[in-house]
Amino acid sequence: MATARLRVLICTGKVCEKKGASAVESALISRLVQFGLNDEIKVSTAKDCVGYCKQAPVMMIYPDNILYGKVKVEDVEEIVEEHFLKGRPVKRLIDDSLDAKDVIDNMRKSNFFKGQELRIVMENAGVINPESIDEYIGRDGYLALGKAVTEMKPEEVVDEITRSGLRGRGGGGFPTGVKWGFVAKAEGEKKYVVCNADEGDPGAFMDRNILEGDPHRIIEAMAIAGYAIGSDHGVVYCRAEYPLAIERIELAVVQAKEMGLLGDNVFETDFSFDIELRVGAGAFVCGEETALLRSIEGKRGQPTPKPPFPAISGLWGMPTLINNVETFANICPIIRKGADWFASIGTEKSRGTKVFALAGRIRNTGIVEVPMGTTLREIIFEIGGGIPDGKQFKAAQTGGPSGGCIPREHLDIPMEYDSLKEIGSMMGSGGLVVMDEDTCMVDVAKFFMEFCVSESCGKCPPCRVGTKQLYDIVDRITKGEGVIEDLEKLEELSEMMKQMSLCGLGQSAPNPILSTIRFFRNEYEDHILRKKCKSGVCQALFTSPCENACPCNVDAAGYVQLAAEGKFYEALELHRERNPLPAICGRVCHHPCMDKCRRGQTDESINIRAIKRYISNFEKELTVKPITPTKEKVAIVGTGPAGLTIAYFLAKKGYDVTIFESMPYPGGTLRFGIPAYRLPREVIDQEVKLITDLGVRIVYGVRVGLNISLDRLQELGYKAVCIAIGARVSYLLGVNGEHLAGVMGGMDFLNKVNIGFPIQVKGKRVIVVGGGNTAMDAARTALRMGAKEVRVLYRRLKEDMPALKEEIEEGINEGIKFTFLVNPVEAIGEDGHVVKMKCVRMRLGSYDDTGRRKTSVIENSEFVLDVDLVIPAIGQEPETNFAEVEKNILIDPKYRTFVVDEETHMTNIPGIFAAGDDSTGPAMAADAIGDGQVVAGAIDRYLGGDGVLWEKRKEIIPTDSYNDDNYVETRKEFEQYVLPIEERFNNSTIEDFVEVERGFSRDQIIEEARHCLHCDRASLSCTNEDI
Amino acid sequence: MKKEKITITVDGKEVAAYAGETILDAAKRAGIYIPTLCHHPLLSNTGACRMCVVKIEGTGRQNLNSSCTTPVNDGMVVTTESPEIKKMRRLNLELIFSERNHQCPFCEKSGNCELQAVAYRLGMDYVRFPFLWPKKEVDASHPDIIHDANRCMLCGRCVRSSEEVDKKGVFAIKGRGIDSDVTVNIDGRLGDTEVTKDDVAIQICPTGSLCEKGLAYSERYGERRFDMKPIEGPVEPK
Ligand code: FES
Repeated sequence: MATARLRVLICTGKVCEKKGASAVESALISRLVQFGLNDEIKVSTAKDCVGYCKQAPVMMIYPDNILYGKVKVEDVEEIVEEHFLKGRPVKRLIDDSLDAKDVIDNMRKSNFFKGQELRIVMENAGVINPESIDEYIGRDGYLALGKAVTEMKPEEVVDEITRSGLRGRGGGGFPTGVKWGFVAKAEGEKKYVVCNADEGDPGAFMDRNILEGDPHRIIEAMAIAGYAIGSDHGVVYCRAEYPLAIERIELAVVQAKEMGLLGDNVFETDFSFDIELRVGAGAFVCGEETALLRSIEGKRGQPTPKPPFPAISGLWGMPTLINNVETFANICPIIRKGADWFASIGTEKSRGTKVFALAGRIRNTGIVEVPMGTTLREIIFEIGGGIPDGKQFKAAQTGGPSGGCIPREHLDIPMEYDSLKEIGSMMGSGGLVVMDEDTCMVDVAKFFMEFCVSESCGKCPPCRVGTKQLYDIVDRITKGEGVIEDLEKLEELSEMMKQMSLCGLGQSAPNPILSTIRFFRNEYEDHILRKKCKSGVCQALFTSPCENACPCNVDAAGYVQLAAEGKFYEALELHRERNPLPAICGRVCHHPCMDKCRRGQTDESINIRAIKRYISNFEKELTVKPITPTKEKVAIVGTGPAGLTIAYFLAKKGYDVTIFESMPYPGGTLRFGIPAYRLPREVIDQEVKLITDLGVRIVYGVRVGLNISLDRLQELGYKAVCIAIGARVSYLLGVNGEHLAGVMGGMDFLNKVNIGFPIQVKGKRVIVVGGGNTAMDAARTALRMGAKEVRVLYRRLKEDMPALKEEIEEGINEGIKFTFLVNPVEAIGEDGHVVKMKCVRMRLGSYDDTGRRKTSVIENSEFVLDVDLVIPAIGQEPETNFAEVEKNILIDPKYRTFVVDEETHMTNIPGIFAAGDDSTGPAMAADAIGDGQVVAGAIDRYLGGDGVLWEKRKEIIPTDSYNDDNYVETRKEFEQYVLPIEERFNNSTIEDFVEVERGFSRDQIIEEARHCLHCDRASLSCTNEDI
Repeated sequence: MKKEKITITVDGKEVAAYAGETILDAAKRAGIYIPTLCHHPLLSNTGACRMCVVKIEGTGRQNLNSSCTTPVNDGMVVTTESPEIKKMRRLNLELIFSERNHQCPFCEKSGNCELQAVAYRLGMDYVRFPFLWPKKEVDASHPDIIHDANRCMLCGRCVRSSEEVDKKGVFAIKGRGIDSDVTVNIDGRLGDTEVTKDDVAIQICPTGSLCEKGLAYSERYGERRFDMKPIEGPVEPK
């Protein structure tokens, strides 16, 4: 969770690159390493020209907002030593032909700065030399103190702060002015002002930034506070881990005293104020104010109960004002510019700005200052640049270990005290950790609990023992040893800790647990009930990341290793243990396994799908023995991937399985939705044959709901009936004219073509609307059928298209035209047939929950395209009417899917199940197979079985034939032979579409498989030891 | 300073109190029992054990306050017992019992133990959390005293008595969080100190952690102190 103090951006646009930007970059990086600064200072490059070519190469320093021009390798040393280490920007590199303001303004046009134009707390950060009091004074420094002590009464100062609406930035958000008022009114022979600079949240370093970059600001503010409450003594309590901050505060105090701005008779008035510095040992609990005070007194840093509050009885029993660094950093501008100015910023209940430390899975990490009420979405996607590597945003944690997580659904939450509290998180000191899809929320809760266990002071049992028990429970859950009652226990214990713990640490420690349970209960349930960590984090729950990512749980690491050894039959058998359709999946699977392959983090993911495809070639020689059914009769409706999977597993378990198929051929969506150039028909037939060889019967040409009723099936003695007919009804566009002849839904088009229904495409202009796989399939099919032109319209950009990347690329190669950022609005007909399509252009707007940008229509941007055939492929739904009509089976009114019980996977009618697209909604073939497994298990349990379909592999597959060390570093090109474009179109009939991808050779496959890093071995060897 | 008399409401009853005294003291005078463990009338209060928590109405805060440390205010409205509070106190006891070895049948303090007695009075008869049972030293170096850290609940009474009453300052708490421990003269042995069995520190240990030697199982079951009467408040020194 390392985050950077400074970010250096080097432009590597064309001009800068020519003038040596890369050399500067590598010189800088080696300097930083040399000084050990490489963790705190992050260097990145901007490939897009930043627009200062005449100064090339340029380097920008954030958050200091400094732009250096004409940087040479020799300048790097000075930049590192003067600027990065001592905080003194190198003036000679700042070109004065560019007005400084201009430069900064220009930089602010980048999104990173656009969101944070207004800076209060960090107004001087990076602009002044923090070791020069003159520069501070030059930026209106000590003006506020002068104004306070010479022009204002103490009550007026308190009043000004109260009216400003400033709230404590350290955590709870108590109104600062009210606190000042309490201490001002409290009686005591002496009073103290304490600055809490014991910033301890993991990932938070805002206070450090302020102390190091602008120390006088804190000193001045503390003196103002002293004047307001009647104190002459201030203490800065700073953690020892911040030596530079300590040094700078000390220096600033000396400088201020020399100038009469601190010490006796400040500004020649009667007011005197002195500041001492205390260094804390860095226990997290010392950030709690009472513990902090005890620590200053030289006692054990343990909290004491409140009341009495420090305002009444604090340091040495005297009235004490404690504020944190960021709170103090707001004081001077308020006094200078007035409460009304400050109150005009932010939201009604949270005024001013807030500094956040952006960390975690986000492009721009670092410190940002934004007005209160800025939404989380703006901070993450606009200022933070979104999530790197095309991953999905999952949650953001605010408030560190005391806070909670905020899920996708709440991205629009305004970042202010009360909204955060409502959602079960808190502002805290401003840590903001972003998590993506690869983060397991149970693991996150465990991480924060671990922190709390080690930071609990141990004084009271709710925190001392409570954090430990919470940690142990969560730890067991991540190991797959949790029980469902644990959730209730976690919640009950958390609630008790919140109410009974002595101090804020214990009271807020359960927040990460409560909020992850609240928003990600399903992840806890996955770990507990299904022993599954979908994010692939909790090692104990899976053997390898690829297996874990596979919707059908195929032991990919296992068959890849067998393939590496050349044991292709064994590999095939291992595959078929969990998935009977390797040849099909080897061609059309969307291979989530490859996205999680650890090899991909170093060079390229192992091409698991190609290996699968190769081993499936050996199916031809496979024979299976029929299994004589000993158990009940089961009927399955549909021979798609889900139906075939269920039949396979149930037949293996001894059930008497019959599949009813309305078409004359098997395969369902595989055959009628996917074109033959991607999935040759004989591949389907061959895999179906292996299933029927087991003893499964397929009855063709019978449409359940038309030729036979569900009732009748049950009467015939089928003890369980499962509907798996897929989703074949295309969504409509919802525009005028879509019922004209020549407008045909994507799935509808593919079905008709693949059945052999004569559709005239030859010589026609075809428009396909949509960006998914169905759209690509329809477009490429139309091209093969002789269309004159095929154009795909998509309302976003190419990179947003949900279709498989390789499909899009092949489509482009074959000559499909794309028009992005458009949307059809009307189909215009002549004599009942479509002739034109009216479209509008779209613009990209703010980000949606998936991190893609929303689109909106550009006014007056209509244009018209000539067209003969329009294929809207924007989604489809299952045709479930018959079941609703016949048996009142519950159907989801929106998605038209069956409503099934989460546990039993049964519809509301006993004995009737639904699987694949019919229960999950339209998804990938592998998802349908995965759902088929779940339903097969559920049907087995329903009929009295144990529901277990396979055993987990326990042994390591050894490496015998090669030395895997030789494959760690090197990586060979791995390109498959694809059919040349010219040869793709000389088909005569649909069934003859020639397969485009032609697979790999034996040697290529073995070579590729040998690069596997064997992630499965770690977990397998530890379970072996356990036994 | 003369004590100013004020009125507070405790569990719906008006109760007379002195300004500055704790809610616990005011409640006790009014005959209202609030369970305590770390509190002792001879000692300062630290609010460590959280058993005595009560709800102060109208503060807008959701957390409970320890009544042994919270001073009364005029007009204060306090709830000392509700099903919710009772449940949480029981849960707190479960945590304390789960932390170390508090197996009453095998403890010589049984029947005279405050922790056990409070658990009985609150109906905490079952611990739903796994026992952590760290292995701790037993210090039998003293001729008259046994110090068994396995039975300690870290209330800190011995620390405070030794400092405030016995004026010896022998005990202290070391370590942090779940690793906290009572230590004798910083990792020393009790036998090497001037502690005697008559020290208040030894006499008011609320668990079987500090015991006088020679008294083990000297009273019969049924005749032990808390067999006869539920606990009313902290044990007194001899
Ligand atoms: S906290 Fe009051 S008795 Fe322990």
